[in-house]
Amino acid sequence: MRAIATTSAILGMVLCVGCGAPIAEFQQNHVYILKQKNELDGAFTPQQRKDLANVMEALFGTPDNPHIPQTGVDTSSLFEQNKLLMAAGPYGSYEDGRPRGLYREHCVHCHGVTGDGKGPTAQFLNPYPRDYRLGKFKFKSTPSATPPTHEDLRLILYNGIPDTAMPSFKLIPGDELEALIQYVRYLSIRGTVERELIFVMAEYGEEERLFDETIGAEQAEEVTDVVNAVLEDWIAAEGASLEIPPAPKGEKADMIAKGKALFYGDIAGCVKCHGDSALGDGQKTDYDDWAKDYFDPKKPDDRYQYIALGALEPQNIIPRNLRAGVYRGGRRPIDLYRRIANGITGTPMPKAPASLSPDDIWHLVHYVRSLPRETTSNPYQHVPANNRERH
Amino acid sequence: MAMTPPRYPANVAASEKNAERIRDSIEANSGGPGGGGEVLADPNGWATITGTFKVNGQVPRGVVNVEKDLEVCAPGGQKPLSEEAVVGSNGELSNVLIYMTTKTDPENELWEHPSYAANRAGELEFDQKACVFMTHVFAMRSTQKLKILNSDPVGHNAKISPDRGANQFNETIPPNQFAMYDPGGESPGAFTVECTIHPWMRAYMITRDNPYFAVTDKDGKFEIANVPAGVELEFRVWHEMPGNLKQVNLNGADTTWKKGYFKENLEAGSTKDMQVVLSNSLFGG
Amino acid sequence: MGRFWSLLFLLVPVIGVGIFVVCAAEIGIEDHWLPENVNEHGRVIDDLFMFILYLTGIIFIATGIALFWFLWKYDAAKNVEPVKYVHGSHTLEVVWSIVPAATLLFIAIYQMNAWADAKMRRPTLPGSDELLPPLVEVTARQFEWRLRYAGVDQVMGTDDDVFGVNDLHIPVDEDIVIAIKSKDVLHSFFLPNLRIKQDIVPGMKQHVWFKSNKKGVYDIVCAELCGWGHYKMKGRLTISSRDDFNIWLQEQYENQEVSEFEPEGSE
Repeated sequence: MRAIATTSAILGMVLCVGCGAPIAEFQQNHVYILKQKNELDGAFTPQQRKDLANVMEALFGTPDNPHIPQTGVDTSSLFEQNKLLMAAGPYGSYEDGRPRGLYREHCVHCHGVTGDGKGPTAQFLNPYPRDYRLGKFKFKSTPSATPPTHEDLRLILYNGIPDTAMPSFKLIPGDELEALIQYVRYLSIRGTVERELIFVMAEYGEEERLFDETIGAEQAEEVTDVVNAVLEDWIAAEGASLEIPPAPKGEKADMIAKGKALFYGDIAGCVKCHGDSALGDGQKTDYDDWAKDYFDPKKPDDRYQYIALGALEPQNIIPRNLRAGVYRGGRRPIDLYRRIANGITGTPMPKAPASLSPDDIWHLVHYVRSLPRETTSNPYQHVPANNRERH
Repeated sequence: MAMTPPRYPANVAASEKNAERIRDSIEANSGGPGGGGEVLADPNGWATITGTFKVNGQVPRGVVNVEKDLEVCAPGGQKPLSEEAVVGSNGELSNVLIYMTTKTDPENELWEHPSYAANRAGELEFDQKACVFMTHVFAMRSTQKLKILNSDPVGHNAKISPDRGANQFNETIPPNQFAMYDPGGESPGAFTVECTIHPWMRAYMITRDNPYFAVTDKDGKFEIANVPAGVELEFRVWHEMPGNLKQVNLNGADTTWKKGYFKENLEAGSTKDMQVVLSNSLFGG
Repeated sequence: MGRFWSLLFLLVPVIGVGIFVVCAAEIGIEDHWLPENVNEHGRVIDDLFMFILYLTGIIFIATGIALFWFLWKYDAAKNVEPVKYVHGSHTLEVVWSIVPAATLLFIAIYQMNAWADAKMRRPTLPGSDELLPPLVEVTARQFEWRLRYAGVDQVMGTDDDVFGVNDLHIPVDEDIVIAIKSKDVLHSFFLPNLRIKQDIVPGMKQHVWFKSNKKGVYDIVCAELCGWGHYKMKGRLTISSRDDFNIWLQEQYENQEVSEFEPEGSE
């Protein structure tokens, strides 16, 4: 009798625990909605928010079933449905053996299901994982606010970002990497469209709706205009990389000396933030654009209402310590050239002034690359007296 | 460091049925010709809008925290005054931005007075000295170009961050040199211009397609000449501190401007004068 | 009921040995024994492993059978004689203390050479006493393996260093020394197919060395719990001929030095 009781108790417990997981949902951009409420007196009634959710699902689908918007723009250069399906959905595989849920396997714990950089791990990291929804990316070949190219995204995934929590995905198969790249693009475009629709809705009164039962062509047009503008931005980005002329030939030491003069000079102004020591101590109190999206450093107490909605506590963005030899966006000369010539989108790092020629920028690149070799960058490491040399 | 995970509020779920229906409708309607915008009546002349903005009561004015390049940015130990709310001795409020938000047809000449045609493709200047942007609220047309000067002996950079409409920009400007900014489009509201080398420096900018905008001067006065008459025009009024101005006392009567908008339909040749008084509670008073 | 339990206890050595035999002899199952060994010194380590396995295996079987036999013989249901009290046997206790101690001492001395070869006798440059400089410096950080090759000049910290992550290449049939470091917490550099495993202590200068004898692609694994991502802290080890390795290193160096870029024309 007792045996039967114990066995059924154990079996019951196993069955109750079960093996299902809640279905993943895209989170609406609560922080941006509150911001438009505050700044533009947006009404954002529950009905309007439901409309927004419906329109977003109509356009982009769900985390398990992504949809490519068919709004009149040819998106074949941006996404393929079968690749998006590999990245979307719960972890597992399809009947034909293709993997499924790659994004959830590799990315979700930091970047979140919605690509908002607020996964469970995010709060412990500095720098925070990227929030794709602003459409801004730091390490790319295109200038200013132009989206990154396919190759830019691929390099970030392939190499990772040293000195941060972003790992390298060099070892996953090529088609899986491609699926992740397209899914990141998909989340970024989705997030940007949502922001723009929220802005459109901020001007509505209480009764107006983004989409209701009597749908007219004009209403559809308002939404598709928003979507197409974002899609076209991304499509145009492929040809928008900065052209980089070859580095000038010359004595290495000569070019480094010229670069040093520029680094410490008035024109480039590098030491103003990177410090006279190049350790990045010239400026410590600024924030990046992802923090400034909801945080105004002149009114710090206003941030609590956004943190209550899931925003992360703003962290300062510090200029790079150039003596460490760690380059987040890539260590090739062209990567450093891009950082200087384009600036870094979303951060305080500006692009070089127009009066610097490409050769000047190359001299700066050579100087920056030589910094980790200087003796100042490699202080003598004290060896404790009782240290035994262990081969 | 807070160790509680970010809490999402209750999410707003989509209804799959409604989403399907909306998707069919959007995709059926895409690629077709647009429904066309609202057809506006033609204006029948020109009018003028003038006015003064004043604040009722005391408004505190702080000092900016300058931490860098003190010889240039705080000469003689004098730190610059904050420009968040600049109020004159009689309550005159500077830096109020008034701009027309009615969507006009750029091809229709009746909407743009000939006096504005000349400055459509002009080049304006925007300067900074003693680590202060010389114009705190700068309005320009989206077709104009902006020459951003640096009249200081130290380097500055101009980080221009519109959320939408105009181009984003961030370029270093060496001492006594300049950078060229091309807005490339119209922004729906004011956006920030900052110097990240001297992070306390901040100004605001707006770029508009139409030429009907103004910023109140140090006497709180503004004038927008030759606005289209005989049609309903919509304007928005904004100040840095309270944002869009909603509760105002206009020509003696307490008025509400919903979301900062006011509408006017002016007779040709007339001048509308707006004497606006604001409560000092909007400015931290 | 009692003898049922003794049979149950007998199952432990039977199934235990059965699993080892099935896996080692690959009866109906593959890849469940030791991974392929491509390190010359790995054979010594594997031999040591097998020796200790046999030694302890024999003792395991003997004690298992002895336990079963006593359980079976002295089962309460079948024994009606009263219990005899014994004061213990001093001889027995001395024997079963000294024999294992001697065995352990034997094992300790027997393995000293293998340990020294793996942990203390770093290879030297041919024909001299100078220690072989490291080919690559592996820096473990949460949760990846950052690599820095000394490059053609074989000096770490010069302009021809090649940087990489997770993708370690090694030439075959050569003495290789790898310097290992940690950027943050404890990790353990584990090359299963080379029988190399070394805990990486932050702040400690350590080296591992080996000579591989077969080309191929193998795993690098982290063997010390280092955080939530420990399970996926994997790298890839590629062992190729010296020529292929040189070509690969040169390619990596050139990729690292790309100094011009022309954007593709939009199609």
